[in-house]
Amino acid sequence: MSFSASVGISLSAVTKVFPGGVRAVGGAEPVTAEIVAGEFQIFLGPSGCGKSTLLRLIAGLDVPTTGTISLTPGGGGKPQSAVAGDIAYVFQEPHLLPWRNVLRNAALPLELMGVPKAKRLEQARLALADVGLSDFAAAYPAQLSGGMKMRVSLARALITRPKLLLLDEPFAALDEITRQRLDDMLRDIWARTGMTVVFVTHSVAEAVFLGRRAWVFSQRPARIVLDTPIDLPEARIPALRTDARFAEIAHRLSASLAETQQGAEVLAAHGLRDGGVIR
Amino acid sequence: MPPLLTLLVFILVWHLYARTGRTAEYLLPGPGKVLSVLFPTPAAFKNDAELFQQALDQRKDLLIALGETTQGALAGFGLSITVGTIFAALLASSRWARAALYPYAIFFQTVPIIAIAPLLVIWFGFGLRTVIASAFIASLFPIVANTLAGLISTDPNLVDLFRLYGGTGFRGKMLSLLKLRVPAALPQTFTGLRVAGGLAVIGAIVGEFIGGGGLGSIVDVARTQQRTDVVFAAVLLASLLGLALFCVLGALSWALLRHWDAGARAN
Amino acid sequence: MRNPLARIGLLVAALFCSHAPAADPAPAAKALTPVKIALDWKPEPEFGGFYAAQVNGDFAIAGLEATILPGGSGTPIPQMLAAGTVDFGIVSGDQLVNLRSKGGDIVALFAVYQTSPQGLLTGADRNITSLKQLLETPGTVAWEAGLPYVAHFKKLYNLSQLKQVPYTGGLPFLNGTNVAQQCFVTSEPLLAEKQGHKVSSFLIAESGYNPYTTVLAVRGEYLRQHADLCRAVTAAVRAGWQGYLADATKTNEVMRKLNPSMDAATFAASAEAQKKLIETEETKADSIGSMTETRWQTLIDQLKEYKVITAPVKASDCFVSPK
Repeated sequence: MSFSASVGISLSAVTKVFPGGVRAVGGAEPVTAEIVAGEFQIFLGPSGCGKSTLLRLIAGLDVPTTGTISLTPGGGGKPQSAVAGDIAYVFQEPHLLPWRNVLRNAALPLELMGVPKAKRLEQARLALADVGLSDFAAAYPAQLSGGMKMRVSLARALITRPKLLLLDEPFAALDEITRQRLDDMLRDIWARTGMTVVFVTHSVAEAVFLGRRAWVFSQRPARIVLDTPIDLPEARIPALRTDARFAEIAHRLSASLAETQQGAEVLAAHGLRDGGVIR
Repeated sequence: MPPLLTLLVFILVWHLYARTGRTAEYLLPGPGKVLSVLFPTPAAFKNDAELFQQALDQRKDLLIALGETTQGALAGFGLSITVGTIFAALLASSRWARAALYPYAIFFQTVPIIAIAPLLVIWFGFGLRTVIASAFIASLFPIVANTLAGLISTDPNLVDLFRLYGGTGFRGKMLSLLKLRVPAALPQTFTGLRVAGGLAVIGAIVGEFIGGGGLGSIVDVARTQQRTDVVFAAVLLASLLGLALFCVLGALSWALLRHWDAGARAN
Repeated sequence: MRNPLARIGLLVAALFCSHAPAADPAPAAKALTPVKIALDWKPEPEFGGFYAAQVNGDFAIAGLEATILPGGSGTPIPQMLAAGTVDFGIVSGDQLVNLRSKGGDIVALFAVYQTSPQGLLTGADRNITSLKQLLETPGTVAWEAGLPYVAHFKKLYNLSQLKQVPYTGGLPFLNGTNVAQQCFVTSEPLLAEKQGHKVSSFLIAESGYNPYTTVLAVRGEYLRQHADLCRAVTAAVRAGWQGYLADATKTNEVMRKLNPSMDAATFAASAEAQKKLIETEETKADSIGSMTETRWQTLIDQLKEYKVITAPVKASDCFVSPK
């Protein structure tokens, strides 16, 4: 599957305050930044800092308190509003419908958009093939492992050929090996399709392995404290994880994270003292 | 197998206790006596033809009554499923509706049917209609409460997913209701149904005390006649009715939910 | 029996109840023996003599301190007596025979009504003049179908035109047309007339079924162990009834405080109306409440005929002669 369309995202003076006064994004410093079309953008930050909230604002699932978020088509042009199917969202948990089989779960977005049954099931089969689950089309979520369910969730996200794919710590609950496998799969799909990807994570290693550009966020309310490119070869092979350049970029991101108060706790969770590098 | 074993043990304990004579037979008949109401033999009446015929007539009355109570309970139950699920959907759709109307649904749970009995008879007359009304009142609340709980506890991430592709307009809301909220609410709805089914049987019998007919009036008459063996036989039949309803609901629940996670499926 | 509702569960209570605790002991100066009498309904003129015995001091004279426990709809007195939950209680004659036939041992000491006040009533506008007419004319009747008098009617009359519905208290004859209902002729007709409805009422006794009603009964074992006490209670109750029949005013006031649902005028009217059911030629003078073996035998024969009882019952075991 390949699509040529993608969108750039423009954040202009964005803040989000929830009823009750909880400031999730921006706060005293509204967020103004650009994500280039076709980017693999990382949102890195401590837990609870508001990066997921910002992701939801971008998806249109919530409205900013101040400021605007606009999408500009890749290749230039005026900002346009997203059409159903342009934006896809992958959650932390697979969130599949347990009463439907894998095929019908993958086909759900097209179903909601009104695509006829034969066509959408056909597309679902293609999407499942792309994530390597063709043999499980008739299975039910209860029969799948965590990694497989997440792959169905990915297939579901890809079925509408989105211009923008948003992922909120999607692989955090999986074991290391499955995680790496899915990282590879995602990166591969991105390379083939050229869509814009925004990937939220609190794992520095994952951020460096996947991303082409990273924003490090402060503690809540979320503000961008570091905006840096990730200068690694386009082909992210597993061996890269032990490369010196990988470690150097990881160190830079870790240091930035550490400056945020909760960042220190993130490092502690990785079992490091000062000057260490995150595996 | 296990439930059968439990039943046999229970009958054995009951039989042994009745044998001790600690409680008089006219208060607590043994299982043999109760079963002989349902399966009379000439030998049990010392071959007195008239008494044997009376026992056969009694059994016929019991079975006819079982049919009547089944009718009343099922009709009342069906009514409370229809009204209850629609009412729950209404309450689920708006916080204002919930705040304004839910407290009155609780009325159905707490009102002692015996207290409003005269009203029921005045409105519905004697017979099946009062029985249905009584079964309805007794079984409504668990359906409303459980279905509502299921409908408003839908996973918010899934709600977001539906909004993402279906939009937030009327069409999107209907898609969300029918393809997400309703199926997601099924396990909890079935919990409510299982509770309500038994209550519908009880409600029907109470309604029969007031409105006549069915197992309720057999119990009422038998009590006055001090025929506790007949009372127990009628109660046994009522329990079997409740059990049958429970099993049917269980089978239906299994059929609809068998693909769910073991955790989501409410046994 | 009037309001029969909600008897369920009280049977279960009778199953598990232990002996009722004794009343507060009398002050040390007078050693009065405490006794408890359980009624099967609320305090009404039907029980006037029992309260009169309390109010007028008849119990005290007999060396007794009586506690009268009002009942309600569904109190299963026969079972409570047989199980030992209460020592003295009010039952009806047919309940007593029925329980005896099933192996329960309770014995009658005193019968308030020589003529049973059980009856049927219906609106006067139907112009019905006899029980036969009432039961054979198309219409509805609200009664407790389990009571033996119903089986008696089934034998005597043709009930095919009658729709039978449960009786659960109140005045159901007002709901609908051509409706009749069970009643105590000393009670519901007066209540109806107070509310402005004209009724015709009929005594079931006049059709040939006349069990002793509002009978003071005791457990057989208790009677054998405390024969003197039972004699004393019977004598006190008799004196109480004699006093109540002579002048009911003071006792009625006491009962009204316990049962405010009836007003003073109705209390008085009911007390007056029941006199002729309590006193007959035989029982005037000093034999109020006494019973004969013949009448118990008649009742036993009738209950056997109507298949209410199957096992035989000895009439002489049912009651105690007043002397």
